[in-house]
Amino acid sequence: MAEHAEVRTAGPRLLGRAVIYALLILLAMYYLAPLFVMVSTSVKTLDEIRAGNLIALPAEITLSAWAKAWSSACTGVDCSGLRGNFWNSVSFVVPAVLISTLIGAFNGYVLTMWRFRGSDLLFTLLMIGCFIPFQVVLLPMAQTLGWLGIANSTTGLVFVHVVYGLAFTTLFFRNFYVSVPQEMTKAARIDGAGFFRIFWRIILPLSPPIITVTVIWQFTQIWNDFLFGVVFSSGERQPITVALNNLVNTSTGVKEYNVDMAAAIIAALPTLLVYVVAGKYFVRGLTAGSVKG
Amino acid sequence: MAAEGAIRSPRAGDRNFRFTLIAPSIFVLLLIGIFPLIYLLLVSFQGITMIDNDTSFHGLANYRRLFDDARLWESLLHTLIFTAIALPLELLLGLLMAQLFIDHLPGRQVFVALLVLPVLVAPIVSGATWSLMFDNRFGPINQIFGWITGEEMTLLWTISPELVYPAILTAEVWQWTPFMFLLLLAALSAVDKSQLEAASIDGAGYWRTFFRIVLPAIWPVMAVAILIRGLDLFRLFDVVWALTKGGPGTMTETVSIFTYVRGFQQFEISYTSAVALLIIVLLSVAILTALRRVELSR
Repeated sequence: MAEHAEVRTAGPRLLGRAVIYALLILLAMYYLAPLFVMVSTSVKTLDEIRAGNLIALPAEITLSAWAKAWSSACTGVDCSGLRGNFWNSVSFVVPAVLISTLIGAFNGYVLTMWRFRGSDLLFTLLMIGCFIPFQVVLLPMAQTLGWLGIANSTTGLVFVHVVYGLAFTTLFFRNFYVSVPQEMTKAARIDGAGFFRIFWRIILPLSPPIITVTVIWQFTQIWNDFLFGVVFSSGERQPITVALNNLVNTSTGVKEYNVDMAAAIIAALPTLLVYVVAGKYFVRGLTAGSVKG
Repeated sequence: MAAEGAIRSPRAGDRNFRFTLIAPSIFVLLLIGIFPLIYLLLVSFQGITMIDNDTSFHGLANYRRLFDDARLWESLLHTLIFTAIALPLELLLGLLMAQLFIDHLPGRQVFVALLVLPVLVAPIVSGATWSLMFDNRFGPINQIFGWITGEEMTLLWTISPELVYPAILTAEVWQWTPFMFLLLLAALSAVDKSQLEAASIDGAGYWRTFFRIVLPAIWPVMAVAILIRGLDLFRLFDVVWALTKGGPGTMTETVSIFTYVRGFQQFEISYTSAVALLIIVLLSVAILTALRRVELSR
């Protein structure tokens, strides 16, 4: 684009720039306004919100809405805030992420370094697993959880998310390990190194980038999930996304917009934190998953 | 057996290991691939509802109901409408933004960093935020419309039949255009610069260069992005649920919401199984057609 602009005359170029900047400002408003409203509303008092200008900066900053969202807001009959649900989410997201990443790594390793008859078929079938719509697995999954005796439990949610995430984690690791030269593992095998030895000594030291990508991807996917949470858990066991939705849609009492927004930010914070810590890997995960897949 | 093999040769032991390790995946395949199909097929021929655990053979009764169920076909239509509008919008807007940002504009880094945020937050969080944006009394959207028209606006964005679609689509496009943008920006950055220079020397205009060089180069990424978003839109649930719960009435009810309501709120287990199977068939046909398209165009 820059090259073309240089050939043209100054007039259209200036006009072009003006159009580009006008577009950018519009887009910036569209994208930033909700984020701004979310943050500023959460630190306003309810009186100030009722006065009617949500676009304005807060006149005074208060964290009382945050405190209420965390520990005393009512979702349905329960009035203990989102605290419990936040830790619910942590308690199933962390194991689900770790387990699905670990199994994905082993899968990728086997599917690239220890191929067997039918391994390509297995991989293709796993990829179809990525595309199976949620609606289809809900009923059979509910039945399975019932049979296993882990319905409406943290274990159940871990199970569901591991099962549903494996196709993706396998895809990530398999695509990464494909680019590892086979000579490396062949040489190690001739030297008598076994399956696990090769994994620990050769493959794992190469893996930190893909492990990071996978962990971030799985973390955002599972933390943000709503449908599995609402279907496979109830009451006190619900994840934070479900609790947030209950809070926002509670029809009893006064609608506290500041508490809603504080709760929304609390629900979003862990994924934002992960992004701040390892943002470039998240973008890499998005692109790696699609460019190579 | 495994121990015996391990003693005789390490190779045999390794073979056992790798099958042990791959076993969870095969289990998963069975669990999300084959078992649901069998389960759904079986249950769809029975008559299980909330009050009646009737597992006797009902023949095709549930399937016959499918064809008469206007609410089901409408929910499919709603899903198609959302997809048909949101997907091209997200693609074009994402491409436009990627094109703008491929030039190193001032503030690019900050803007790109902020643009990732919508992709990161949960759709239910985005839904909560947009339901405040569209609030009829205090919402900024009505406020802005008020400034433009000069009179006070109290539009019911999440209730009025003619406003619910624009409202949901605004939130959906807000959240997922950055996804397209990030993928397309990466693809555009990877386009061979020397080809662009050669085209420029040959006097090819902007659009000609775009269609002849840039588009073919980014098409593989674009195709995958379209596929991913298309499939995601097909199971659209969270943002609609947060904004309208499928209402007013069933006006914005998507297939996912329909399945959820029928299966998990009304517990029409057998009928919902038939619906799920119908979805698998429709989706398979759609995906196969799409893949064939992509293959043919290569």
